[in-house]
Amino acid sequence: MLLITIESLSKTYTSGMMRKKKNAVSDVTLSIESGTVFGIIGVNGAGKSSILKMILGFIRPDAGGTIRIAGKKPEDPASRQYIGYLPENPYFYDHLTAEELLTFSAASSRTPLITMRENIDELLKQTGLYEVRKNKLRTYSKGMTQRAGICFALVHDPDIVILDEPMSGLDPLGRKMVIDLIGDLKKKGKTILFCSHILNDVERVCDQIAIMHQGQLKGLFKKDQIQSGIEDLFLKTIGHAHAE
Amino acid sequence: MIGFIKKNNHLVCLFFLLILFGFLWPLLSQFRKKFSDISYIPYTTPSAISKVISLEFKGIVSDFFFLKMITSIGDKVGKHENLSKRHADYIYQSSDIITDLDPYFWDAYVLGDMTLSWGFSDIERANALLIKAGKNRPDDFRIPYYIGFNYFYFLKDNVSGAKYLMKASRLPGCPSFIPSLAARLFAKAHEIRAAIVFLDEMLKKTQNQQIAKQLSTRLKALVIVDFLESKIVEYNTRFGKQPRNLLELVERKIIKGIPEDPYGGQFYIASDGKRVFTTSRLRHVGDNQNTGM
Amino acid sequence: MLNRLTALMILTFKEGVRDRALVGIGLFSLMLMGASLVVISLFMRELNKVAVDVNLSAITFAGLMMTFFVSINLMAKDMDKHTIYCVLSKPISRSEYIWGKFLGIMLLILAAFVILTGCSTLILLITKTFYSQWFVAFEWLPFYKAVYTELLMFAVLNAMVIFFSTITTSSFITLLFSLSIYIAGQTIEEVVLYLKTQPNIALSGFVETMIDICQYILPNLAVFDMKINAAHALPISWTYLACVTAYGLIYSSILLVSASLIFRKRELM
Repeated sequence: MLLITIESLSKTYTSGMMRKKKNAVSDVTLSIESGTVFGIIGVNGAGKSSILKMILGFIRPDAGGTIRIAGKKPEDPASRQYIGYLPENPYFYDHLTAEELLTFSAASSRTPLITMRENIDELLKQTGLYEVRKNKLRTYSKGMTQRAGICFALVHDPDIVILDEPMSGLDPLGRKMVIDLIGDLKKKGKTILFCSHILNDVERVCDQIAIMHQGQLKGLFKKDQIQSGIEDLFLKTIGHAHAE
Repeated sequence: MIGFIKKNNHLVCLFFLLILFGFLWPLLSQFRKKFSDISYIPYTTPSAISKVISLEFKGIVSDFFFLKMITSIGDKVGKHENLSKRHADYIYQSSDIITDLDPYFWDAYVLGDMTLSWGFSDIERANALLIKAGKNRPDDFRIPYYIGFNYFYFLKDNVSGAKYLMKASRLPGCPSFIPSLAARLFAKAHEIRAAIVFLDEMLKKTQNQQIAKQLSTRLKALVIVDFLESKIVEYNTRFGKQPRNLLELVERKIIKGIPEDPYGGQFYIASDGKRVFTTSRLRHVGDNQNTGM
Repeated sequence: MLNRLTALMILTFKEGVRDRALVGIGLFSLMLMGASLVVISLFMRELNKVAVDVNLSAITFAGLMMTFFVSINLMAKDMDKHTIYCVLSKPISRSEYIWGKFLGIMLLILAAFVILTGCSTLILLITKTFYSQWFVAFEWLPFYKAVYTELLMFAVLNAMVIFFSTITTSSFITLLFSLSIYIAGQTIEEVVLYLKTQPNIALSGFVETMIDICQYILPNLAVFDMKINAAHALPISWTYLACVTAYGLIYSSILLVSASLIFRKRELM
């Protein structure tokens, strides 16, 4: 079943007094099937984040492009009912505690009260934040904030999990934890869409990989198509693009 | 020693700076005091400006201006300083602005009226303030009462005075003595008694110590004047003539001695032989206004 | 929808209520109220007026500080630090975001008002006992009514803050605009009255139309200022109260609905 479909998606940012235009994403078409782990890789500024933000409705695609999440448009808030999202370099409210933040996340997604408490405690234990759950988020280190963000994305048990650079700012243990989490989610049949520029991590968990460069989709690969290692594949794909 | 200084150089620095500061402070405040003594001018901000810039804080701004007016009056009187026409202008403008900010502020009207009438004999502007008060507090009997008082006491216009008192007596809460006072005025009764009654009523309702003190001094002086004038009448009935001076009253044992003027002046009998005046003109000696009662 | 609004309202309230600035604002207002106990003895007779003036001004002042520092900060931080991503990644629509934020901020201001009015009541009670002789023309009802209309003023002002936060990207501009609107809103009635009653100021037709337009567009915040009435225990009629309630609610709603319309189109980068 196709869960997320993206068709001829483009995004042009205009900025400054001169209305300078910059193509962040141009003509991307892809679809993500239910139950897959889908990774978008590319260098910084390749347009990965822009795609995720358009899926979540933070920014609007240029005319002509369409996005459907389980058949719903991103402008429809209901499309986010079953999405969990971790922003890049997440930053949360200074004066809230992890527990309060997760309560908000769960409550606003209409999680039943009983499962809510269980989910929160379980996730906090899993990410090692249980001891500090009553501390203000301001006191958290970068890695702890990242983990709190992961909890925020997962606490309402979403079907689709969108992670923007989930590994950034994490130590090796933290990374392993995220990879395990993604593995768990996959086992539960969740769909995971994430972008990263840490190639090895992507290789370990992805079923499908999209390589982006300068706003364009340069290649789509299934896991079994990656033989010579992801790094080679990546360089070849974007190097090939340069040669053209 | 040097080791200690090196170790705690910030502490040592702070210590010396504090000492220097301690020396400088009294010097500076002395300069400032001279400065403020020379240049202290009570200023006002026109209503058109102060009303706009005080936004929704008109009430508290009016309180602030009023406090400034009280202290400026108290300061001048306390220092027995000469009150100039400029000060009268300030009092009038200030009361006017305060009551523009808060049109119901009765104290500001009263203080303006009292200071202008008793202090400067500026009845025109005192009444102007009271008339403004009357527009904003139409049901307040005190306003026509005060205007009436100004008319008969200061302007010697008993007819207008009585007219206002009658107006006051028709308003709610008016005390019973006012109608009879109005009646006596029509009969050209003496005004000192009315002033005593008036001041007594003011005094009872005043909380501010300084103003209460001023009122009570004035009241004391008026009580003495009233007392002396009644003794002149007594002298007249007993001896069939007017006394030439107050000493004659003492000589004839009608009074024990000439009472002291709380303002520091000397009481004397006016040229008409009936009225008693004082050289202080009911102001603290040193005031050089030549108006008054 | 309701649970999403409440969740966002509580989130905003909690984030705001723990702002350290609140402690300072609260202490300042309490000090101002406390000072009224002392300052009052310097006045002549209408001590009730002065006491009410100071107390109501202290409450208003706290509200203004909260609006211009805490509320603006709550809105601006969402955009600047991208905390808005975590809110809008939930099934919360842009309009729900606007209303949820507004309700959270109003809950915060309501809480501050309740606490400060409580303290005020206590202080007025003390003054009333100490200076009972000079507390003649004092009534509680107009005092509380004045507090209520002030609260309505803050509903309009905070709706204004939210409106400006959605159309600008800088919290400084929001501060500048909402402060200007506050000042203009408090004075417009007076200025118009002044200009129209001055015979020697000849207004051209264009200027007059401009003034009329300003009068309709700007909120007339002076209608919520009942402090003078409260200070002199002048009655504030229930119909007037109903009228300003409707005015405040409608004006804030217009602002919030417009803010939603604009915000729906905004790109969050």
